[in-house]
Amino acid sequence: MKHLTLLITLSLLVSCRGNEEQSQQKTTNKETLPSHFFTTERPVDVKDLVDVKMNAKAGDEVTFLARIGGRKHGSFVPTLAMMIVADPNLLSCELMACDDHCDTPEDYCCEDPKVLTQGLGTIRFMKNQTDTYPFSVEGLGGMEVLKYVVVAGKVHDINANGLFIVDAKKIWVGGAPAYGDNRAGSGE
Amino acid sequence: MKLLPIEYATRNLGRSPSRLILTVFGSSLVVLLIMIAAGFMVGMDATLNVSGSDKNIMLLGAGSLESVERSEVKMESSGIVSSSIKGYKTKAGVEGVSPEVHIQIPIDIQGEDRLVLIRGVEPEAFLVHERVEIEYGSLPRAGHNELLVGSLATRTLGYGKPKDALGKTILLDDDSYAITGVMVACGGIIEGEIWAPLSDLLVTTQRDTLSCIVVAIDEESGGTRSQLDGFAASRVDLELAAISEREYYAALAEFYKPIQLMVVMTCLMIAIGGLLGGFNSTYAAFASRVREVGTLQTLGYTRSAITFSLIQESILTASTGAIIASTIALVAIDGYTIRFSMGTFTLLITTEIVTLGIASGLALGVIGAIAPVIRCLRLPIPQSLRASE
Repeated sequence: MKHLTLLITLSLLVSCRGNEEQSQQKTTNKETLPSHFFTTERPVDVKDLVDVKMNAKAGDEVTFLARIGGRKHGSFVPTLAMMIVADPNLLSCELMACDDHCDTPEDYCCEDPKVLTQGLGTIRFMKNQTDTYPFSVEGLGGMEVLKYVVVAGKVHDINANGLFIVDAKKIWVGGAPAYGDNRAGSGE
Repeated sequence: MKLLPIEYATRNLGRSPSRLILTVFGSSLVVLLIMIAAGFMVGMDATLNVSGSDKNIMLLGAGSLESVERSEVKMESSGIVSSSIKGYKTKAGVEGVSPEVHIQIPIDIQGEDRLVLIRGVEPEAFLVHERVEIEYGSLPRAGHNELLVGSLATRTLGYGKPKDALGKTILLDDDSYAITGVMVACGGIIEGEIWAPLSDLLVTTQRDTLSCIVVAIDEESGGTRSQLDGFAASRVDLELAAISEREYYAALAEFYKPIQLMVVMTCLMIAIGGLLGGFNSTYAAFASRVREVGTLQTLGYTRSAITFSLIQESILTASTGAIIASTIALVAIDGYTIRFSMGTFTLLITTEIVTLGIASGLALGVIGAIAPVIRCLRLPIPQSLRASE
């Protein structure tokens, strides 16, 4: 019986230690974007996403204000440094009323889908000319859904149907607006 | 300890045949309900668990990740996906990119409208959904209003044997379709579906959008899930979202958990009713034997020996009920088809469920004997002997 108790205690200790090692590994493996992508100095006189998208073409250097969001649970790609941003004039549900009537305001479900598509853009953080960093950027540098960002980068692709891919060079991360103050957190 | 012979317990069972029948009926009802509830859960889980593959990624309309039937994807997306993505499965020139329409259509079956899931597919679907095999008949031809029916769907359509469905016609939105084949899919959800050529179904339903595009990634050719995640995020103009088939069906199984729970709760509540009825009749049967128990004690049998004999008697009754219930479950319940919104699944009475049923019967026997045994043995011997029958 004593041997059995000892065996159980030992195996519990080993399994606990294993978990500890795993969690340590997880922490050390956490990848992050190089610091040169982030800036704390917000560019001034920045246009909204739609205003920039209207006249942009592939290869243009652009800077615009947008909010992270546009897809339900999918604004950040889980395995790539890529995210979707929306024009600040699009209304997410939390800005429509003070009550929490929508669990996922970042999907802009009350907006006209066609208007929404025209107001969206994809931001990529490139490791080199062809590859995106192979991890999610959610949470990095404070990037979270519904927060304002100012993105400076190069237009990779654009079309009249709403496609707008920008390879980010610098990003400023602001805060999230609140009901009654749609531009709070935008730095304006 | 001197035990009472087993014959004593066996002979006692026949003292009141009507009471015996009632007790056996009660225990068989309880066990049968437990087995049905377990068969429902196992059957539904089995169907959803074998449906879908990690290597198949579904591209659905953004915002419709929960329901492929609600999803709308632009027709041109399929071509854009196959030209933009690398690393998907190909075989003999067929690309593993399957544009599909999933739609529920009511079909008139013997005067009753039954909702059946119809999937509009192109030949690529057979490369992507590799578990699908044609069991009888042949592939439906595009432009001929022909159908391939899942083996479980044939039962929904009212055919006893899947083969009986071959050559029959059904009406989909007033268009007549002929059944040319029956398919199986290792027990997956597809067996409850009907497949039609994509173009025919689009014409019948007057639809100009797809429900989803299923891409079979080939890891050996460099295909990855993140490619499709990236594609969906970068092509915001196509309004797509990516999810693996496995994740989709797991979410669906999660969605149906409350319904499973409701079925289990309903079965349990009815079972508790049957259980109390059974306990009552066992209690009445034993309680009237207080004097007999007192006599046994005067003959030198210990309380433990008498308890053991009464439990034997109760177990014999309950296990008879359990055996009857198991037989009914295996003969009549196993394989019974149930339709739900995503298709059809069958109640499965597995070896584990039969074991659960028998174990429940034995437990009922032991638990059912406790109260009457206390009632019989609590009195001192002189008082027991004076007790009225």
